[in-house]
Amino acid sequence: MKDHSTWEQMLAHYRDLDEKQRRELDEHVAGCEACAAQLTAYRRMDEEIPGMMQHRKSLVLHSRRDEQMRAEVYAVFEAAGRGWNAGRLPALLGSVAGIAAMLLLTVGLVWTFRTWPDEMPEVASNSGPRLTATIAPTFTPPAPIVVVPSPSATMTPAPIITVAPTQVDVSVEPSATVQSVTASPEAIPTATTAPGGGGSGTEEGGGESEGWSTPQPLSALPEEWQEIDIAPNGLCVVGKVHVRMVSELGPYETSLHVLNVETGQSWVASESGYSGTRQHLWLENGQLLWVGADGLSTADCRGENRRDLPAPERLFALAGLGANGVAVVLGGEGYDAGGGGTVWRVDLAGGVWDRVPDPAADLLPAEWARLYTVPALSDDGTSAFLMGSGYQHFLTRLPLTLGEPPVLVTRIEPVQPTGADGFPPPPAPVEGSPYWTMAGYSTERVREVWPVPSLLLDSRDGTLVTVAEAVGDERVIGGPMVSSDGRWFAAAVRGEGEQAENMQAGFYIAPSSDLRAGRIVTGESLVAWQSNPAAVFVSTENGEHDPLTRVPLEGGEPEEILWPEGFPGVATTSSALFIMERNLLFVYGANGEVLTSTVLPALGVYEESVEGAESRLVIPTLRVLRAENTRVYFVAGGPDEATRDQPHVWVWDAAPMLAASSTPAEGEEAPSVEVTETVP
Amino acid sequence: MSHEQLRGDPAVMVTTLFERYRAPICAYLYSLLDDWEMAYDLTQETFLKAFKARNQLLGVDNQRAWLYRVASNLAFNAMKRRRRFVWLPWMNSDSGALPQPDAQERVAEASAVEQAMAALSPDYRAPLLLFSYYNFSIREVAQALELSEGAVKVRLHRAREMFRQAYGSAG
Repeated sequence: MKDHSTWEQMLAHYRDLDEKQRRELDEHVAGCEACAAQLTAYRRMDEEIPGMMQHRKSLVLHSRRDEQMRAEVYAVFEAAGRGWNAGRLPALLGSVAGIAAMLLLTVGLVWTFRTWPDEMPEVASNSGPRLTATIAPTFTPPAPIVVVPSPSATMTPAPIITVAPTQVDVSVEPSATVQSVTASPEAIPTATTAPGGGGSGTEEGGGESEGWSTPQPLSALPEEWQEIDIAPNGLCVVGKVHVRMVSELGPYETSLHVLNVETGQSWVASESGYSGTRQHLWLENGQLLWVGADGLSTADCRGENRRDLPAPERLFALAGLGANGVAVVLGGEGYDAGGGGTVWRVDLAGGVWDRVPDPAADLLPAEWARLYTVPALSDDGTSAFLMGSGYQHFLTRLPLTLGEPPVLVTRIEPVQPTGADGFPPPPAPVEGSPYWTMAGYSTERVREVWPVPSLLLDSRDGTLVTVAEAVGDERVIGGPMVSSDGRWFAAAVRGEGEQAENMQAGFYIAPSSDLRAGRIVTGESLVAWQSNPAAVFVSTENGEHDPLTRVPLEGGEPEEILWPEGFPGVATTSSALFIMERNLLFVYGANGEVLTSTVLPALGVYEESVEGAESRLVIPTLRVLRAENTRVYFVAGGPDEATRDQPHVWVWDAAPMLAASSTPAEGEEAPSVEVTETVP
Repeated sequence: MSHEQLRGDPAVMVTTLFERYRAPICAYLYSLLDDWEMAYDLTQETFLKAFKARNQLLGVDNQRAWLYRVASNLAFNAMKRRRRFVWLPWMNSDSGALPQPDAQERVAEASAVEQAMAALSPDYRAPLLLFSYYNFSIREVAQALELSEGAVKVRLHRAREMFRQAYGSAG
């Protein structure tokens, strides 16, 4: 019989217990409230500490002192190496350091291409359609583009428009808005559950609101889930559990669990993935497509009607699904073996696996490692883009047509992902613009500047330029935010003179087709694009309130919309702009008008008293999971006292209320939001 | 030379370890020392020691634990030295009191997690960080800190309780 202090000590290293010890401890914890609370606190601790440490690690990698340390260490290595193995070490260190650095910094979604046998491995095809391996034709890359140093941009200051808001008040108090659009009780479908019934803090919104589906508990998922996704129909939830960390800088090994919210049952789809990589997609027919170690599978949310496509090798990530039903899948040894892998195209309908030939076959010696980020699909779903490195850096377009060779887009100057744990996407084309966005990368050149400026890839000549260089104004520093229709760029602007340290002194906005034809709007910096941009919403904190400003894109005066508490959450979809404010959620129209609103789930809302400040309402457990068309998905506590501490998925669909409010009163203009419904 | 062959090369191994572990080790050292400059210096020293011992290191099973052991020893030795010498300002202020660094200011600005971590002595910070963030097993923490596994368990438990209390008051 263990005494209590022994149990307590075991709680501190719960992760390291063997199965028997853990079972014993679990039994004890089940009957010991103090230990349960202690275990919860320790788990929270293990979630909080990594955030601090990741930040510190990121500071190391971004500092000039790190560059200095690297230079000094390599100088010593090299000097020592001359006597030890003269001649070979410098080159060897150079190449390996480059490769190792990329391996380290591109983190996780990086794998090594190796020379593969000419013949495909034999594949058992006793289930699913017959598997055929198609070898794509030999790739002949175009002549590489010579790396040209970035042009020193002519800095032409942009015209400035200072925000002089007309202080347009929305003229509706949040609570009044809710009351005005809340449907009558008879209009609420019986299948819906109104939020806020039973918790505290609902006094402002009061009544019930339409559009809420019954919240679904996540209790059938393992408690340790870290990543979660919900199907577009709201009836199926996928949770990813982090099983073990592969390395400090690498991802976690994960297992994928599927919860059917109608039955409350869950099942394990895969145990072979990594955190930060996609392993599943929702198909239009409502089924789940996922990658397991042995192949691709589809099934409905109950795990029934399953179809398996065995793979020629171990798989670990699903990069995407093209418009023609061709999936891009990553396979190989994964991170456990420190590399080794390949890219596959899979025709789901025909069950054909097509191994993508080495895009850098003519660029790099066969024995050099090739490192790739996870491919990103183009907007039209016909291609994937891969950023590769093997001492040379190159960008490849992979057509999603079986047998078509990958095309070398460009060779570019060395890049590094910013932050050691990021999974930066490859450059993304912007329709109508010569510039592709390159989120999450830096170069040696721009690392000299703090903050590290965001990069753009000039598709005309393959050069990398900073946003400031492309715009022609050195004040423009932020990463570009492209509008949902791709027609506009926005980027943060730093202050001048005494305000030079202010990195959010305003924003620059320009048409994507001509980044130099923009304007600076001072005073605001946080940008939220509308779904159908006629204007951009921006916000800033000024200590008293967080105003929301609407800036018309085609010119005209910005308008400030005042809210008492600001808006902590914004989500945009093709149909709506959602803004969360306190325990209310608003849907905005194209002209900045509030189309409708609802009360957020009240459970988990409590009143927090901050010393020296007014009490305020916070929603500690609420977070937006997904926003799609007119729907928003949240995770929050359950609908009653008994379940308030248990995570539930809440779904709110604004469509009924938008439809109800779309009939304009006499003399009013109809709301301009487009309500589309594509959910199967 | 193939990639596999490169992996077996002691110099390449140290280079790879340096690229892989310099940032987490530097962050670890900073978390123990609260001094970036010293953290960088000791990170550098850790890898220079690794380079000197590269041939032996090639045969070490757990190179990561080895590196953290070196880094931890360097940090604890530096802290002992720091305690032994107190640097006085060149010119004392009128009051004779030592000028206070901006530590308090920084702590006030720091997050609740940072405040809670700062409340722990390095003896407790080290096992908590290695176990909670660096994902070391108890055995690996013991190797890295040259302690018995039992001692690590006791320290880890105390560290968690101290952190919990400090976090509660900081948050």
